[in-house]
Amino acid sequence: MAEIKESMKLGYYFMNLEDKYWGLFLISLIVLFFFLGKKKGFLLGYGVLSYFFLLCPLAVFFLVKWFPALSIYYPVRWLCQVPLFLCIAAVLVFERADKAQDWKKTFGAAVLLFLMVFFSGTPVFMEENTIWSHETGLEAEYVEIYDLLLADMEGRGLEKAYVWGPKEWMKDCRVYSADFYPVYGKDIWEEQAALGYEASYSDTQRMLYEFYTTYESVQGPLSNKWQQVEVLADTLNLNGDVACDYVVMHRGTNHWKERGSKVKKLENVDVEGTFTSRNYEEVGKTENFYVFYRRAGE
Amino acid sequence: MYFTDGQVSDVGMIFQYGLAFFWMCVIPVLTGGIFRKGLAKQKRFLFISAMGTGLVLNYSIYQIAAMVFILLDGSFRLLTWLYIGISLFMALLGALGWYRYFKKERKQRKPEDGRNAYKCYRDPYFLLGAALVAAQILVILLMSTPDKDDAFYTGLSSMCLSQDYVLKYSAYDGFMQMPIETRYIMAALPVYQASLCLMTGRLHTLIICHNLYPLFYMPLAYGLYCMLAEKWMEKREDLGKFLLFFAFLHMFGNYYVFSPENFLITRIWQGKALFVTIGLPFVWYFMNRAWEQEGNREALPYWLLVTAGLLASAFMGETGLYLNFLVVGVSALSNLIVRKKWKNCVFAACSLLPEVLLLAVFLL
Repeated sequence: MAEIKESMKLGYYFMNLEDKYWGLFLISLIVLFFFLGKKKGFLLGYGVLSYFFLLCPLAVFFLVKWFPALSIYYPVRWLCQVPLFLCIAAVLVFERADKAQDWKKTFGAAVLLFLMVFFSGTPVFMEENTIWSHETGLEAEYVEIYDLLLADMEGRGLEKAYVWGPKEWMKDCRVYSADFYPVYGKDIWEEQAALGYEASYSDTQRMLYEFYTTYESVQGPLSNKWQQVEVLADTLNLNGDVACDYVVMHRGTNHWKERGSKVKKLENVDVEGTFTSRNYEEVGKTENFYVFYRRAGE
Repeated sequence: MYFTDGQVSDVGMIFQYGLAFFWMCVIPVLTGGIFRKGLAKQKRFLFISAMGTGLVLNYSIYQIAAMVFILLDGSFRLLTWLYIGISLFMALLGALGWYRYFKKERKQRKPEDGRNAYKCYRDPYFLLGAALVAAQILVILLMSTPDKDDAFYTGLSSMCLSQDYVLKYSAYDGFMQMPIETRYIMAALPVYQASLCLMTGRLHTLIICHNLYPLFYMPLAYGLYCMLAEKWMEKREDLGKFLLFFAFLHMFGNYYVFSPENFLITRIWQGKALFVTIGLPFVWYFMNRAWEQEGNREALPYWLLVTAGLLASAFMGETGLYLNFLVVGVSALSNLIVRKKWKNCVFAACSLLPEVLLLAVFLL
């Protein structure tokens, strides 16, 4: 009983999430039933069957029982082709209003359709993380750094490079070029640790990983980022066993920047001095970042 | 712009984009000529259905080849060369088909045919809808909505290019310590995108995915949906209204990150998005066509296309692989209720056989 209640709750949650389609899908089926005429067969049949097999709370109950809820629920919804049903129904409604030769009805139907869509959804491009981007789809400044690194690697005759950098930058580095090897390896996002990647870390790598997660955590106990920059420089410098050819650091600011949030400025952080005084060579800088190279054998 | 093989001049870039157009549009359209009789009856959808068909055939061939290479631990570059050979051969066969088709069509054509066939494209609603689609493409070329899946999928493409193997290790680290999960192995789309990089003279996979996929395949996706919707339209002119509503609805579909609207507009290069926007309408359309045919002989080419469509859906993502069973099941059941052709259920079940085989090879 509790199981049924839970899956019903989940079904209700998704219905709320897709409220604009949940009710509208049923309305579109009714419209199709009355307006579609001779051609209704397959379309209406598919709509009704997909509703009963995939969408209705009872179907949700069985789907959740047999499959992991979230991984199956949305894909199953794709199969219903709700936008297609809605638009065909909308055209039929509009046509009927148009046929009546009454401009008030036609105008009313058009306004109704417009309001239905406009007030029940948000524009896709207003997603929080939508950015103006470089042609690769990545942030232009990140691409600038990747290019800077690749050019420097070529100059030094390096076929691959171990790199340390801000989380968002790190996430995309191997997408841009597989010649980049993040120092902690796989820490592209935190869940990777949960998947067991960190089990393969050496002790020093594990230490770096711990450091990394703390450094990235804005609300973590260590609020003095300046100290952390020094600690990172020292850790990498003293642990020669950790392969780290390049370090990318934000220039004097806390580099944590969730999209949509403000970048917090940190005062008096001499990132350049901290690294160049510790066996690092400045390779270049962009508007917001420094790129350092760790000299070999020192 | 710096790429792994060095600086590319502007002329070089134009050449690369030309090659991309050739492999991503010209080859599929030519290949579609193989099934010229099975393509859309309406002339205005001829090239859309040809491109969809050719793409699906190319994808299914690549999927089979990639599976063999994964099992044999073969080289990625060799796979690409093999695919180039096969796809060129198929395009040649398709070109012959097109030649015969146009030769025959020229003899039978009446002067008013052309004017009537493309009349709906002059409908103001259609033009407005097309303008909305063009605006969506423009926005995606200038902006992006990054998501973490890209770090994995496009990462796999860069791994194939760099290490010359086909789907072996996780893309996250590069230390070759974490073998890739089986479910990812069954979908060869990231490898195909890496092959496109080689086939276009090393145009970066990110540009291929983030720019060229929306540019070439968003119109295809809308076209396939229009083709599908036309089956239920009363008048030919209604198609313009459908396109306008459909494009408008998609612009307001940000209710969830996995919504089909979000997929189509923000990241059509990802497997799941391709499955929802191209794989599904393709399979739906041709399955309906197959069911409409009177005799088994007439229906066979359509069932072959459905089989290729299902295999291509598996190529797009493992979600597609599993969901195909539901797609075929629900479509077959609704067709069975409406048209009462029991024999067709056998065809529908047979169209799933390659996927069953694929699952058996990797899961058992």
